[in-house]
Amino acid sequence: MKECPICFEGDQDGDQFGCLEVCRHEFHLNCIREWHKYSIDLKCPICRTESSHLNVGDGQHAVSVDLEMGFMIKHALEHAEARTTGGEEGEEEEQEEQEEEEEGEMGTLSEMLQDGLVIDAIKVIQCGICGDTDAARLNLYCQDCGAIYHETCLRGLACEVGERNAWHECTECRSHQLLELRMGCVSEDQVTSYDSRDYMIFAGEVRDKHSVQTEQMYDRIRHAKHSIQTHVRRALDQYPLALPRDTYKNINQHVSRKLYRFSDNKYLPNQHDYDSLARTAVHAEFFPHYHVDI
Amino acid sequence: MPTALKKQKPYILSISDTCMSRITKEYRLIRKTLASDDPTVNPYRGIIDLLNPIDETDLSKWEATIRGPEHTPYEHYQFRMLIDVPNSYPMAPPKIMFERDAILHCNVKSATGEVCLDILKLQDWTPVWDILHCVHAVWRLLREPVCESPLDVDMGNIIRCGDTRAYHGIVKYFLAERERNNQN
Repeated sequence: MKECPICFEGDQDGDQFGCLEVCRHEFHLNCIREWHKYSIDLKCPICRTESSHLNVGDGQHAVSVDLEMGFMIKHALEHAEARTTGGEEGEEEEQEEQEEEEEGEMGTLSEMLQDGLVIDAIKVIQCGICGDTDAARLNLYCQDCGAIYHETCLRGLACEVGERNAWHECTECRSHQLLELRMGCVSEDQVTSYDSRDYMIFAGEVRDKHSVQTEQMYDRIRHAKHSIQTHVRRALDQYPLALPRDTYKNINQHVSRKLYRFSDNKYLPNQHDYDSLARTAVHAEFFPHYHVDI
Repeated sequence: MPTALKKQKPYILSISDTCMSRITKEYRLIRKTLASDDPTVNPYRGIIDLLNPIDETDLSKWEATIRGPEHTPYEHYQFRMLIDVPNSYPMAPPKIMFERDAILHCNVKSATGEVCLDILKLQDWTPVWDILHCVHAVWRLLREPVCESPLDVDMGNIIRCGDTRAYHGIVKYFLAERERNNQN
């Protein structure tokens, strides 16, 4: 009986085996992909031969998974995360309070995803099945683990395993909470310009075309958030009541988020009057029943 | 939009499960291997005397006793090691420590028992190795010290000079002293 050398289990649960392209060593698909989250290269755990592809299935259902792409994206994400968290720590020492307030604006990548800023992050994420990064066609995401898919890939996979109607399930965490992914403020041509060629340049080198783009993107978002918050702070400072610090903080965070969403995470002072928007929104925070449309 | 995207990465939970099932399997395998008299099944006879979880209900803390390899100054002595299995095992390597002040070796920090062995480092570890392999690797380290990456620089220098007699002498003296202290 086949046994996966990573988890020491056979295939009793119907776990799929994948085989590394060069050395033909076999592992559970989940195990080897889990290992690549930890490993520093794409070498085989048994013989240390490097393989860039993993073959899954046989015959006409065979799929070749591009490991390199996922691996580079992992690095890109780690880099981005290290950058954002690293910046925060520096602030922390200088001005603790300020940092606490600002925590909501520019947190880690996962917080950004949570905050509706998924739009830009999508560019560095690939389809969980085919590994393709053509973000324009990626249209489903898993609410539980954040994995992203092509609907066609999910349907295709379901047909392959013979459960035509069970396609609406995340292959990473088995959740059924797959939601439609909207591209938000990013226009279609902008998205498709981030094709795989950008990542290929990226290989091995941290500072390159792509990560510079990522950095610029973060700077842009950070700048937009900062500018909007200035308006909110001004509105709060001018509010006729003296506010306790906690309230100030909560309202600041809440209103700022509302405004980011309202203006698509961009700072557009020519289109919106942020001062009056902030004032109305702050007012609405104190009088929730007094309906203000923002 | 995706306010429900959870902060916590889901695989942290699942890896714990994998860790548990894998370590249970390993435990069963280790018991079977070490109990066997057949040298093809159990090549560790006379090498690993004991390899057990300290407490049967907690498989993350293990202890091991190895016998000093023949033709080395460690011969005839036993060395106890403590093994810590992290939550992310087998993706991350187990941590192996000797007991404090129990051994003198160029790749061991005697005061803490810390072992410097490449395969126990994150960058060289692979998940196909198991605890038994690791313990065996530490035993082999006693036989073949690596003076290129010493934790005990003095001992490393003695070996690098090629003065094996001095090395053996110091180790033997240290171990005899250890034995005397234990008896008192």
